[in-house]
Amino acid sequence: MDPGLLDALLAPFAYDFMLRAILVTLVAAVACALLSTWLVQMGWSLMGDAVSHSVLPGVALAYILGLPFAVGAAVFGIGAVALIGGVRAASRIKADAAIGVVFTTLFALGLVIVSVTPAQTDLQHILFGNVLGVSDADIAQVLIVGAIVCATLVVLRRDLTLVAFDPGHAHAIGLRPRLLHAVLLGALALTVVTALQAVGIILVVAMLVIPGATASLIAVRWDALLAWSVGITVAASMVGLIAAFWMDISPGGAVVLTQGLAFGLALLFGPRRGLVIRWARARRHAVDGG
Amino acid sequence: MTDAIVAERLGVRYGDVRALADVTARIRTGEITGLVGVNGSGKSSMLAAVLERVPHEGTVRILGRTPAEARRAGLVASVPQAETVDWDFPVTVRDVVTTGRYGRMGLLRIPRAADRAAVDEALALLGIADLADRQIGELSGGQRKRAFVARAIAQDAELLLLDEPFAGVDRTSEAQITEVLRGIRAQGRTVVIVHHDLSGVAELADSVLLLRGRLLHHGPPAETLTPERIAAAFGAGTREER
Ligand SMILES: Nc1ncnc2c1ncn2[C@@H]1O[C@H](COP(=O)(O)OP(=O)(O)O)[C@@H](O)[C@H]1O
Ligand SMILES: [Mg+2]
Repeated sequence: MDPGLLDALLAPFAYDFMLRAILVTLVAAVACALLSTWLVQMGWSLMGDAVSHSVLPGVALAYILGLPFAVGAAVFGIGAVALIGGVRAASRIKADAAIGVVFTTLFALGLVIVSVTPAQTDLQHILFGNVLGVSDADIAQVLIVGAIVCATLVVLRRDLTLVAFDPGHAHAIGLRPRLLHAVLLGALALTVVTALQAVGIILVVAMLVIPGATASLIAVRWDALLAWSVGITVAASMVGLIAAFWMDISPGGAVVLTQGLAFGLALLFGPRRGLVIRWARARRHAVDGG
Repeated sequence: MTDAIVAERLGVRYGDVRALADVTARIRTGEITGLVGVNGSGKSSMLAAVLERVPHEGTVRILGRTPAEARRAGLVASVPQAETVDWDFPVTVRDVVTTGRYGRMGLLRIPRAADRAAVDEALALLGIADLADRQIGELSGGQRKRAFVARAIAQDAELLLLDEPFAGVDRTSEAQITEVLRGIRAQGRTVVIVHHDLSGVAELADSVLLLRGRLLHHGPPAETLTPERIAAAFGAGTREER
C-alpha cells in the first residue's frame, strides 16, 4: 500500500479523542448490528425508531438529577414499550398509530425539558451525538451496557431466531415467545443507550435498521446474517469516522451515511436479492423460456 | 390408555369475533384424527387452543398433563399453516428441522451427535436430504410441507398437530407425508390433522371432528361425513350459533 495512504488511515489513531470515538462507535455498532437482524426480520423497525426517540426525556432528567444517563434512557425506553402496549390494549388503535403517538409525545416532552434546562448545549449533543467529546463516565456506561446486550443476544440467538421465524413451534416446544419478545425490547432500550452516544438520538434508528436490512440482502443463514451485519457495520463505522476526521464533518452523520452507501451496494450487487442478480436471472429465464 | 387430547367446553374468541365455542371431545391415542370444516370454521383456532397458544375458555389435557407440562416435555409437535410462515426468512431446511430438537439441547442450542443424526434421519424419511442446505423458500409447496413434517419427526413427539399439510401440495409430497403419518400411528403415536379434502380425510383418518364454529359431529369418517352432515358443515346459510 502507498505509505502516504496508510499514514492517512492511521493518523486518526494517534489522537486520544479519536480512539475514544472509535471505541464507543464500535461497541454501539456491534450491539446495534446484532439487534438489527431481529428487528428487521420481525418487522419491528418502527419500534426502534420509537424507543430511540422516547429516551430523550429520560436522558434530560438524568442530566438534571445528576444520574448516569444510561439509567434515565433505560427507564424511558422500557417505559415507552410498556406505554405502547398499554395504549394499544386500552384503545384498540392499530400498532403503528399507538407507536407514533407514544414516541412523538415522549420526544416532545424531552424537547420541552431540554429547553428549560440551563446547560442546553450538553443536551443538544444527545440529539446529534458528540462522539468526539465523550467522557470517561460515558465510555464506561457504553462498554457495560454494550457488553450486556451483546452477551444476551449471542447466548439467546437461536431461541430469538426461532421465535422470529415460527413462534407457534417455539411455544409448542416449551419456549416462551412473550418472554423472548420482552428480552428483545429490553435489549432495544439498552442498545439505544449505547448508540445515542455514537450518533445521537435522531440517527439511532439508522443504526438499528440499516445493518439488518443490508445483511438480509446477502445472507441466507442466520449466523451468516449476524456476521455480515456486524462486519459491514463495523467497516462502515471505521470508514465513516476516518472520513469525519479528515473532512471535518459530523462523525455520526458520516457513519450512518457510509452504512446507507453499504446498503445501496448490497441492493445492487447482493448475492441474494441484489438487483443485478435478479436482472441476470430474469434474463436467463427469458432466454430459457423463449 | 390415556387419551391424547381431552377438551372440555373449549372456546376461542378474538376480541369480538367468536372463532370456536363449546367443543368437548376426546381424541384417542394412537389414532389419526381429522379436523374438517369450511374456512373460518375454527380449525386452526382449535389447534391453538389445545396448545394454549391463544386465550381460551374451557380446559384441555394432553396425554394426561396440562398443555404447559406437555409442551415443556416436548410431547407435542406443531406443523403451521403455510400462510403463517415467512418463506423469505434466512434459514435453511436443515436449520428448520434442527429446531425440532431444541427442547433436548442446552441453553445455547448446540446440536449433539444424536441431534444431528435425528435431523439427517428425518430429512431422509421425507425425501428432502438433498435439499437440506437450501433456503426454506427455495422449495416447492410440497417440499416445504415435508420440511416441517421432518421437523416434527426429528422432535420425536407423541402428538403431532398439522394444519393443512396437504394444501397446495403435489401428489408425491402428499403420498410421502401420508406414509410418514401412517408410520407415526403404527408407533402408537397420535396425529391430528386439519384436512380440506373430504375423500382424502375419509381414507386417512380413524375419526373426524366436523367443525363450524362449534363441534357438529365427532366419529369415524363413514359416520361423520354423511351428505347431511357435510351439507350442514359446508352448505350456505348462517352459522347456527350466531
Ligand atoms: N388472530 C385473529 N384475530 C382475529 N380473528 C381471527 C384470528 N384468527 C382467526 N380469526 C377468526 O376466527 C375465525 C376462525 O378462524 P380459524 O380458526 O383460522 O379457522 P380455520 O382454520 O377453520 O379456517 C375466523 O372467523 C377468523 O377470521
Ligand atoms: Mg386455518
